[in-house]
Amino acid sequence: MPLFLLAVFGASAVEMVEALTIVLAAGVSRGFRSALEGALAAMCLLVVLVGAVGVPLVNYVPLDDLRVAVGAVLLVLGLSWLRKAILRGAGRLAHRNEDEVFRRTKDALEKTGPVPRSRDAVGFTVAFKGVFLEGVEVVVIVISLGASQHRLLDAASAALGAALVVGIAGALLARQLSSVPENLIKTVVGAMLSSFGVFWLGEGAGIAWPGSDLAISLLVVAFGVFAWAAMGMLRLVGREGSHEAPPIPATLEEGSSL
Amino acid sequence: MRSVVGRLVRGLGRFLWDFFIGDTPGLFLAVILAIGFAYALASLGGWAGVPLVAFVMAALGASLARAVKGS
Repeated sequence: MPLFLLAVFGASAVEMVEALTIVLAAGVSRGFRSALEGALAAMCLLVVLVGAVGVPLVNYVPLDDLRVAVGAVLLVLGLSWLRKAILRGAGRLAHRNEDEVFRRTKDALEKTGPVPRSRDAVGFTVAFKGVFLEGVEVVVIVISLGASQHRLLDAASAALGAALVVGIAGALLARQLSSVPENLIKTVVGAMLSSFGVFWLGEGAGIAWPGSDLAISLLVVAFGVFAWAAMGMLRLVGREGSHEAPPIPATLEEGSSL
Repeated sequence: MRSVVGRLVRGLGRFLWDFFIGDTPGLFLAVILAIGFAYALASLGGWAGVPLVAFVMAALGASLARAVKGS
């Protein structure tokens, strides 16, 4: 599988794990019919977004300008992912706990009143919002990586494939989403997105990379080594510090949608 | 009608702000600077990509240091 499809697949998998937690909570507390309809409606809207924004970008924007813009977007997303993953890996930021998110969402939904016999608007809306908000980031990544390679359809298929795999795994694992190594996936995908970002930004600006596309693999390794070294250093600094600073709760750092 | 459009524009603006800048405005600024840096380096040829990668990693390192200091 080409590296850019792997990046799309990984990013989509991470976001869909987070979305699935909300869909499952909505399904358990408000009924699965409305929750699944909400999730499906959001997926359809995300696919329309990819087509509506991605196709004109591929066809009408000059390739070099597109690569600089796409590189910048990927770099912003990739660096944010990598930063959060490093802080979590070093114990400086609390890990996202899917079981806790599931419990909190389920408790809140159960307090919203009785479930109607026909369609439940609350369950539909919560599942729709969960999938749509998590999916927007995947749409940006699909469009960025797909458009810069002129392989939008392949990128969209990889994202949908990941959503399908996560959906099936979630149903089989029966909610044990906390066992997914989310931070490891986030570190690898963050390194990949940052690598593609800096590569396309440079290429679009006119920088000739040694080894052409092979440079992307080297960049992934370089960002991976940086992340590993940074986690180690931050852990060491934490141990040597005179006072133990507790990790920042994930909810405080989750202010952005990233 | 005008208030609905205003609400939508404000909502979209807030969403884009959270999405791209959020709690890491330093990283966003670094990427903007990296664009200018990339154009400036392009004329050098050869290994011009190396300083660009170093700049990006330094920005990430600075952001991590700020996060640790603030915790």
